[in-house]
Amino acid sequence: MGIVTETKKLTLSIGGICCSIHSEDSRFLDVLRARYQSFEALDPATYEIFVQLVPFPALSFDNTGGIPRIDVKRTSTGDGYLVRRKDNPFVAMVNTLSRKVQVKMWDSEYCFDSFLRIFYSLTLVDEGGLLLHASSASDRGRANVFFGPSGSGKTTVARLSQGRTVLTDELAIIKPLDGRYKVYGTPFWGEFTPGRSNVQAELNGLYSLKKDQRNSILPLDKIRAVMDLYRCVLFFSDDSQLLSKILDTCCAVVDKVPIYELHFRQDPSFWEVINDQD
Amino acid sequence: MIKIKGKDTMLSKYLLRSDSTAYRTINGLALIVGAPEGKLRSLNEAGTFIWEQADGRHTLSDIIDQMCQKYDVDYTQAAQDAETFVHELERQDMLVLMDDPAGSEEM
Repeated sequence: MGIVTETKKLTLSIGGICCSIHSEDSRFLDVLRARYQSFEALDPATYEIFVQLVPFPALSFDNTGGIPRIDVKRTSTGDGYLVRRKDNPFVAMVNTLSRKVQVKMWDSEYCFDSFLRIFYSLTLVDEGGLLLHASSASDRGRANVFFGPSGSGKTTVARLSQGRTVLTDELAIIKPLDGRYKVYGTPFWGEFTPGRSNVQAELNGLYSLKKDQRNSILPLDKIRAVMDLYRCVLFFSDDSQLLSKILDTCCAVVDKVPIYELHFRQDPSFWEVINDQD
Repeated sequence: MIKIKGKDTMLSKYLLRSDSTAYRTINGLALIVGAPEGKLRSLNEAGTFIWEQADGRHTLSDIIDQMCQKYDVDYTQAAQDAETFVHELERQDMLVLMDDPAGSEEM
C-alpha cells in the first residue's frame, strides 16, 4: 500500500505569469485558494514561492530604524531583491536567477496579498510590463484602461461599465505580446468586487481620468502621456535600473497605444465619447 | 557682456549626470527620473540642453556659452537661470559637480 503525500502548494496565474505557492500550512493555502480562486492554474510555474508563517514578534521591525514602510532593495550579489514591509509585515528574498522566493510573514491573507502585489510589480518590469493603478473594461476582446491616482474615478468607471466585462477596478497588468499590448485583470481589487474574473484582452486605448461636468476626450502629447502613465505605475523600489526600465516601458506603451485624457460625468454617458473615438 | 568666472564658483564646475538617474528624450525634451526619489520630471528646452551636455567634459560656463550662441540669449540671465537649475538637480543628487573633467583622474 503506498503512502499518499499531500501536495501543499497552490499555483496561480496572474498576468500570464505563473507562480506556485508552497506552505506547510494547508489551512493557509486553503484561505489563499478561496481568495484567488479565479486565478488558480494548472500551468507549470515560473516562480516558486515558499511561505513560512511566523508569529507576531518574529517580524518586528522596531530595531531596524530608518527602514521605510515598504523597502525593496537589490541584493549585493545582484541576483535578486530583498523586500520588506512594516505594516502587514513580511520579509521576502526574491532570487531572479533561480526564480525562487522565500517569504516570512504573519498568518494573514492581507500580508500575502501585499507581498504578491509587490512581487508582481517587480517581475513585470523584466517582461516589459506594468502593474498600473487602473480600472479596465473590455468589449469583444478589446479593453480600455482608465488610469489615475486615488479618487480619480477608477472604481466609478468600473461600476458604470454595465454590459462590458470588467477586468479590474484597482490594478491592471499591461504586458507586451507579439508586438501589441494586452491587459490582464488581477485579483487585486478595490471596492468593486464582482467576482474577480481572470480575463485578458487586447489593449485598445488608455484614458487618464478627470471627473468633470461634461464628457470629452483630449489627446495627450507624448511627454504628458508618459508622465501621467508613469505616475500611476505601482512600484516600490528605488533601484535606478528598474526605474529606467519602467520609464522605457511607459515610452514604449505610449508609442504603440492611443492615450487620451478623459473628462467624464459620473454616469454611463462617457462611453458614448469613447465609442465615437473608436 | 560680463562673464563671471572663478575657480570656486559653480560656473567652473564640470557637470555629470548621476549614475542613479535615467532619462529619455521625446520630441527634443528630456524626461528624467532619479533614484531614490523616483519622481519623473520633464525639462524645458534649455534644461534639456544643459542636461544633455552634462557628460562630465563641459563646465557649466562652457554650456552656458553654447546656449547663448544657440538661442541668442543674454549671458547673465542665462547664467542665473542655469545656476538655479543645476543647483536644484545637484541637491536632488541627479547631477554631480566636479572640479576636473570626468576621466581626468586616470591620466
